[in-house]
Amino acid sequence: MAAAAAEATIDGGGKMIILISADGKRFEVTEAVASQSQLISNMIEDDCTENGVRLPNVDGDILTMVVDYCNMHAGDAAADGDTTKASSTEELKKFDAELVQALENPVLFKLILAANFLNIKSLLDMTCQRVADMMSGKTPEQMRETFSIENDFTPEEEAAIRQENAWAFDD
Amino acid sequence: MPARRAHMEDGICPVNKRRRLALSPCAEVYNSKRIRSQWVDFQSLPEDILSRIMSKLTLKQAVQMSMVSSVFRRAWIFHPDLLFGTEELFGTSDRQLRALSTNGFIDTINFVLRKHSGLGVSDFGVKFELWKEHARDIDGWVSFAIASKARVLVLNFSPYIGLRENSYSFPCHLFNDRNGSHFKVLQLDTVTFGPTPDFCGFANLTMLTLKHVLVLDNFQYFLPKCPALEWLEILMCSQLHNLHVSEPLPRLEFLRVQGCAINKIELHAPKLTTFEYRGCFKVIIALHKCLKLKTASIASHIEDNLEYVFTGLPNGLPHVERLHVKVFVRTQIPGFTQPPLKFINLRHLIMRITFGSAKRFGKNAVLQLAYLLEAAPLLVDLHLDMTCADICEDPPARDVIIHRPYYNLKRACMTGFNGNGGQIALVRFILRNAVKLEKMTIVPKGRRTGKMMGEYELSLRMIRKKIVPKDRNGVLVIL
Repeated sequence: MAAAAAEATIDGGGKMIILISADGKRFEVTEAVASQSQLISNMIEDDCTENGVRLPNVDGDILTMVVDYCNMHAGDAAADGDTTKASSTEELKKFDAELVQALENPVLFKLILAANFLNIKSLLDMTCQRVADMMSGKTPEQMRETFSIENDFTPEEEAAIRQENAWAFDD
Repeated sequence: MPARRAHMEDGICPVNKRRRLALSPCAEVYNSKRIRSQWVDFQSLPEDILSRIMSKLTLKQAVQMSMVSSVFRRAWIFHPDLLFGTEELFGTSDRQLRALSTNGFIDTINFVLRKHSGLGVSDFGVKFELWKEHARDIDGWVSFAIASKARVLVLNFSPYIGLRENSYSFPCHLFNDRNGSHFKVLQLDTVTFGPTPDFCGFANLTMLTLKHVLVLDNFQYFLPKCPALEWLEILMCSQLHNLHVSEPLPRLEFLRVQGCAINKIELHAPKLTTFEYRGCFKVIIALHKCLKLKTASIASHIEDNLEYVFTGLPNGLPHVERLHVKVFVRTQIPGFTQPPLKFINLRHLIMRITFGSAKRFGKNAVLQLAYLLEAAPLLVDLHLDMTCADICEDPPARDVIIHRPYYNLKRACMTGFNGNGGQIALVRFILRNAVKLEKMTIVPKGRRTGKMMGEYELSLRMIRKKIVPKDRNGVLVIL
């Protein structure tokens, strides 16, 4: 599916490069698509993508999402001033929303780590925004439940923090 | 526990430090298998990602999260948006509460700034009723904004109640050539601003908004020291009488002046494209050096000064192609003669005109607008939005206006048509003389609201009787 999407966006990206996930899955993408990752962009500049780029800390299923995202957004930088862009902006928004909406927390966090490692700012921003949206309006207790976070404060510490930041808790 | 807190206050958080080491990019590559197969949860995110997530919450929400666990304890201290107002701090905009808790407000800001890392700040803003007497604290906040390299600084100490001598004075003395260069946006409300002639300015400032600001002298020296300025708004600054800057403002694209008792606006801004003015029509507008100034909006609500549109604007705005005018007309222009000046580039004109009471209504108060065609010979679009009190004004005398053909007007529109004699004469003038007219739209008053159907019916009857027979080219559209 990812490879098919790559073919569909041949837009002068020219050379293809191969990304290899931790579990050995191979993804063929154009340089233009892959360059959205600052990490890979730097590697392309340094001419070290010949034999494929191994990404030993990104799972195949996560890399599938990343490649889909990059294929979808490949036009962003290139097609500036393109008149068709307005309509595709809507499409992109919808695609982005659907990409992160249904993810289980651990998968979302893995996607964040992948976006961070590959240095894809827009994907990192979007995934972080998704987590922030999930946090918004939650009490600390609800936060712990939602994200399975262990409370490692003693009741005394908790009271001290609450008192210290009283202004933020006085609703 | 005390030892741990001491660590934290030194800016070192042992828990986070350990976590960061374990997940540095290098480690991720080599320990990938372990990370990949492990259950990734919130607490295993690196510190900078946690801060990035926190930055997308409000400051208050981010601080609330410090209760969740030790990992979150200090995650808010890199929050980029430090915006302090009653709603942000107290969760209410209730003024009663505001009056009671000025000290609490100030203490909270001071507390937050003491805890904040001072890193990664983008916006710094305070919106609260504060005065000169709070200068020590406010100066400290501005110093924080400078030191943290904030891009946006907003000081809004409204409501403005006219006690200018009590307003806080913007601390120009805190700035020097280097430390002021991070600011891109500066918004001041109910603040006194008095830069000395040798004030360093803001090298990278792109937006400046002054509202209810007592501007002391030297404003003309200050503006050129903001060479990156693109957007300038001056609102209700009653003490600023002159906006005359002889040095060029090379990047200025947008200028808005509202509610100022200003006498003259003269700038040399080669990139200025848009100018908006609302206020007294005695102002001398001299923007003829602004070659790219294509769009302007000029409004006055109270003065009876249509003449200003014909005499005060053409020379000061010679390059304008699109003009919005809002004007109040009580009488006709004295003499009702040919307009002496021309809008040599004007293509699109929208005028909102409110006509005053009938008693002092000049006979040709409406028809005199026909001279817009004479004053703007290249006009293509003319939209007249009228509010006329009088519905039964007599038609003007027959030969009061000179007929001659106009070849450029393609579209004319009159809204607020109520069938008075002046309006009928004006529409007939346009139909007769605008020989290339493609469309003449009339929107009778009362159409949209559904009320005053009587007036609407009357207008329609007048159109059918007096205007339709003159529509020889079939350009009339009644909405």
